[in-house]
Amino acid sequence: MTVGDPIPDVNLAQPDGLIVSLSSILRGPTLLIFLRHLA
Amino acid sequence: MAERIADFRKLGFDAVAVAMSRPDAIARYLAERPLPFPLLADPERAAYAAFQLKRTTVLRLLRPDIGWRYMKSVLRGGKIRRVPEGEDPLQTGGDFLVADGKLLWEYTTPDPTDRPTVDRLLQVIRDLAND
Repeated sequence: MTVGDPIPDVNLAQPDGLIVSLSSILRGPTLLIFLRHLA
Repeated sequence: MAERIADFRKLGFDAVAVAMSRPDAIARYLAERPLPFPLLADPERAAYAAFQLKRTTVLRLLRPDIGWRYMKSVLRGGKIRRVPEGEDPLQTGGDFLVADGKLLWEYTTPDPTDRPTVDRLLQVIRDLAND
């Protein structure tokens, strides 16, 4: 990905199992962290 | 990171975390360690793939410095955790700054232990604001 590219919209699951789109979660400037594992 | 979320919010940024764990595993994790930002599940790793996050190699995981880090953790009382079913121990993580649906900055690396510090992330945000 290159700076300025639109970010992909993907479906993710909330802890209760509800599927949400990434775009519906991002409400403003955001640090998006992809973890390798839960600590 | 969770302890420093206020520093990000002062600069106008929030945080969202994604893990490859199943939703029920994340729910159990959050019950013990609540986070001040959303933690979402991507057990199929579709988002990891969409953000072009690669898998590392077994050789990288076997590096002496990584082994030493694990050993120090165990000596301090930490536990060696089994990789939960369905998770990929070779999947790398990454950090992305996004706004208005666009990528502002990214940090990805094949080194599984290489992540930017919170201070570095905050400095990048300040630098972006000054550009």
